[in-house]
Amino acid sequence: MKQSVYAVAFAAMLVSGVAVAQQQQNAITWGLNSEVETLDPYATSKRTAQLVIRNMLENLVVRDPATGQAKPALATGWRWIDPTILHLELRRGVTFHDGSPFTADDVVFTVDYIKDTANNATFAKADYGFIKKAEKVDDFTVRLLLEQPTPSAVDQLSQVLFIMPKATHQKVGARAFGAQPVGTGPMKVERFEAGRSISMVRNDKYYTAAWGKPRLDRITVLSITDNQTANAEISAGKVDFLWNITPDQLAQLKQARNVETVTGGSVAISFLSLDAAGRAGANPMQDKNVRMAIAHAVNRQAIAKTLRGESSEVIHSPCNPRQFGCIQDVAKYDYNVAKAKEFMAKSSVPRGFELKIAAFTDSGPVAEAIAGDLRQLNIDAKLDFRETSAWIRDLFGGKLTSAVVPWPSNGVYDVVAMVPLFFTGDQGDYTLDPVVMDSFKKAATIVDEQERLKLYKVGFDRLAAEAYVLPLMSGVTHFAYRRGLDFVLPVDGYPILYMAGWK
Amino acid sequence: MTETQVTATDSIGVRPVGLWRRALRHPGFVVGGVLLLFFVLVALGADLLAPHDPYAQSLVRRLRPPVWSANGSWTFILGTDPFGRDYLSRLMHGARIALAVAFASALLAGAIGATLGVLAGYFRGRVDQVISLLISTRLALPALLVALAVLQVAGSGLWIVVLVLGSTLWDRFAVVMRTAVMQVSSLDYVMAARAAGASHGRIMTREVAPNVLGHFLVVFSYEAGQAVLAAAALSFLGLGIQAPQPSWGLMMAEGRSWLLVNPWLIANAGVALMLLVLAMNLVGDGLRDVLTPGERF
Amino acid sequence: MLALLGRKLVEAILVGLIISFVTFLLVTWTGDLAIALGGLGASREELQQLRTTHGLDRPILVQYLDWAAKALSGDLGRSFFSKEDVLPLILSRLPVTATLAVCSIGVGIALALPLGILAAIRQGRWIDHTAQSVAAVSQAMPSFWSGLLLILLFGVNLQVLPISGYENWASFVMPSLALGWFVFPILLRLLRAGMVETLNTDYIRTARAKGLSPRRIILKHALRNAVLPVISLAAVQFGQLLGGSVVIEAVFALPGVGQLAWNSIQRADFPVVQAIVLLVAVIFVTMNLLADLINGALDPRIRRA
Repeated sequence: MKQSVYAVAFAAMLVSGVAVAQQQQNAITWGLNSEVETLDPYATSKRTAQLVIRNMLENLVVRDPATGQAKPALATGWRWIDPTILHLELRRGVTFHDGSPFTADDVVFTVDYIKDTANNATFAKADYGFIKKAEKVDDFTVRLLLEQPTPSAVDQLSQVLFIMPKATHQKVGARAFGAQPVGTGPMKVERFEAGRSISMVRNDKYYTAAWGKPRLDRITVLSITDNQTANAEISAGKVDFLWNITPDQLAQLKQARNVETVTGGSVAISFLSLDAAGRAGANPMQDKNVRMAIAHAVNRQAIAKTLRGESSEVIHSPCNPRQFGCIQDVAKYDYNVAKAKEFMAKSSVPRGFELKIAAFTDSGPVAEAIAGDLRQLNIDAKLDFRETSAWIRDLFGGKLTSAVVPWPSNGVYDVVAMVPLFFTGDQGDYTLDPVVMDSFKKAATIVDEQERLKLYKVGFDRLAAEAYVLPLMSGVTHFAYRRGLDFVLPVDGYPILYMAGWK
Repeated sequence: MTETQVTATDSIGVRPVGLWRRALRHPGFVVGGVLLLFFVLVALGADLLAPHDPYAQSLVRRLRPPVWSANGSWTFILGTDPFGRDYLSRLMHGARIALAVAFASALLAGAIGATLGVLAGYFRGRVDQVISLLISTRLALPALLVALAVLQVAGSGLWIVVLVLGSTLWDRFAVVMRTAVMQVSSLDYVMAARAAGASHGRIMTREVAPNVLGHFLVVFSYEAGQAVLAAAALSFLGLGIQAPQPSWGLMMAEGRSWLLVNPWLIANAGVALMLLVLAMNLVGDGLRDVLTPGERF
Repeated sequence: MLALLGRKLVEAILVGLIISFVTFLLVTWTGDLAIALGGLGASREELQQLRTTHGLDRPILVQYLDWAAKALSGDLGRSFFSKEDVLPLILSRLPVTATLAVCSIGVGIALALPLGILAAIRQGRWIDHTAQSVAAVSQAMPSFWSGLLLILLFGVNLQVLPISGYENWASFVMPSLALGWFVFPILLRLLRAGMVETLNTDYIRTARAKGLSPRRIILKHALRNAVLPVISLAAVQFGQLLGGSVVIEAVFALPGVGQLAWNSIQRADFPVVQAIVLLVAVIFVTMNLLADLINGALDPRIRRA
């Protein structure tokens, strides 16, 4: 550790001049731990890319980073006409970056675009499954018709549905739009190098929003996928902001002089998906005893604290305790190797078997630690490390016998943001249990909170009793940024950079 | 390494005893041989020699420094890795993986390359033209890229790595064997055997093969070293042998995130890898000087 | 000479054809293009329609010829991932890798030239042994490991060079050193052997007998002869480095062809992989031809043949 202190401190000393320059220029550089291939929010399978895109394209509402409440953005007001019809008043006098005016047509166009399967919008089902269609009432009023009662709809609209300009998009097409997106956001794209960097400048025509006006002149996003490089660059002053760093990076950066490190919450969780339904072919996960053995053999506490951070907690249902409907009072499996071995002995594969645990980015070490724990049961477990999009493709393609699934729920404080995807017979469901499916599906159509909770209890109880998945831990988000940056720690873990500024 | 002063004439048909004596006087060969023997012994005896189970993980004791650091201890002589596993034990078991990959890949490559080389050198003409074209094609293909692409599709595992490396590293075998066989088969006694009506198979196995065995062994030891390097590069990139198996390349890849804190994680596995490849190259040089003097590879 | 070159040219074209077919098969066999085009949400009927519209239901040979015709006109297809045209995508990355390859060979020659000359003149002496030992060690070091050690030294401890990424010339220093260190032993061995051989030839002995100064002999005569094969090897190495810099580009996050290839392999973006393999092979074959040409032009024995 000592060496790192010197290295980091020395670097900071050498180049603190750079940092001053950045502040004087009123600009900020984000060292992003992911590569952004497109700025089309409906063509990327990466949530991280959407965090960049939201500086340029806006949603109808925005989530206040301090309180988590939905605040007006492109929509200035909203009310429920009935549980499946949301009435929205749109902001007047807003223009897109290319000067074209924003109206209800753009909202309808965007919804139609996503809903048209020919456009192959990513996450169409996960993010937009609850929307049936959008109807224009007049130029500045729209109605969203929903598939079923969705109490969390307004909150979800703060994370999804990036509004695109109808005329411009139809003229240039999706490909060109992804390279040079046109939105109403506080920042507009200046230069985009796929996979490497995005530079954005302030949109001076931006309206005065509930949170104020953008202060920064420029935001640059540089892809730095190597943790050590990211640490060196922020210490050296070339980068001002890092998001979602590992606890190990955090520990190293705590020593750096000009860097502030903070840890915030998140609605994210991780769970270990097990192919109990045999979608990827016959496998030992279909045996309940094997799943019970695995549940007892993994030292989740140690994994959570070491690999995620001190504030990360072990969970017992695959949802975040902060989310509505997340029942954690279910059957619990303690770390008990002797018990695990008993279950293993009772199983159809008492002598062990081979297992590949698929993981991507920072879930890799989690999967490797799980694999290490499973070796105690004679399970020859190996990490199957993949590139993000390949992992997503195979997980939802039903090809993974087991996988570490980190799910961010898009920051939505309701289990509907994740349950339908993994437990109601959809592409991500490796459980396919009728009891679970029925209760979760039914819960999504009901407005009465008590009734919903009862149904979720049935579903999560069943999930735990059968040990269909192994819930691992709640997520935490570690940030590091240059001292002097005025940045509100977001309750959901998702940074909104355009609201930041230098003190 | 050293120029052994032997003339070309006594290379064929020398008594094994004489060869052996000459080899022992070749310093490079001796150093390489001893090193290689050391690695083989460690690999074979890893279960007995390793102080800990290479897979035994404990997150509480992660990243312990090696014994020579201020906080080091003799319990974990080379410290522990980011998962709290004993580094030295992983290094020892890693020797097993490295050697298995090296020998199996070189053997497979040798089988492919030598067959092609012998056929081309013996039959010449059309056969030689086709095989030479194959060799040129192989040389033009960026081997590492193709290996990576194939592994990405075919999945991971030790034997898949062997298969992929074996089918990309055969070119030198083919080139060397082709030339050697051409030389040998124009020798008088081979011509004589041909004239006497001996079958091609018989001539190749009885007359040609024993005389080019030396060439094969030389290339074999070089290519074994190449296989170690290639396998390490593949696992460094995360393809092929998968964690938590103690592959040296993987160990270095994992150590990357700890460059600032614990550079030994990268340094120690790298030294082991370098010594093993060096040993194989030195043995190759030695064999070249002793078995096939005066020739370049 | 012309006949020889003609034969080489025919061979090069044949090699190119074989490789194009092999890489074509690689893409066809490794993934269902229709799924790649249609995405996850596509239904069975939609996939079938995609197959028909993109001609994926035709015989493989017909598809190949179709693809080859397009490839010859510079259309190597589109990336599954970014939907960009493949050729411009690769060409935009080529300068980085080419610069890296040239610098690496420069480093290799800069190391090999003085050491090789010294080793050859002082054959069998300590400097010869040292040079060869250094070469043996460097040949045994994986390039990514040398790269990491360089990062440790220059990037972390001395803080004089950027750890990774691509900004200016400084970004090339460590990668070139790491790759050059890897190329150097081959060059050294070749140079030394060539020098030793020439120093023992008749005309050098004659020159010596004529009373020419040793330095003149070495620099003017011996070196000129020994450097020939080194130049052609350097040309070949250049071709190889284009495909072999994957690991180094990954270590240093250099946005070259290698990194593009590696990223594309990871996301199963096979049109890009295919095109890179093909392009690297074509460059390699061309460099080989060039090497033959250099040899032919400079070496009187070949020129006459």
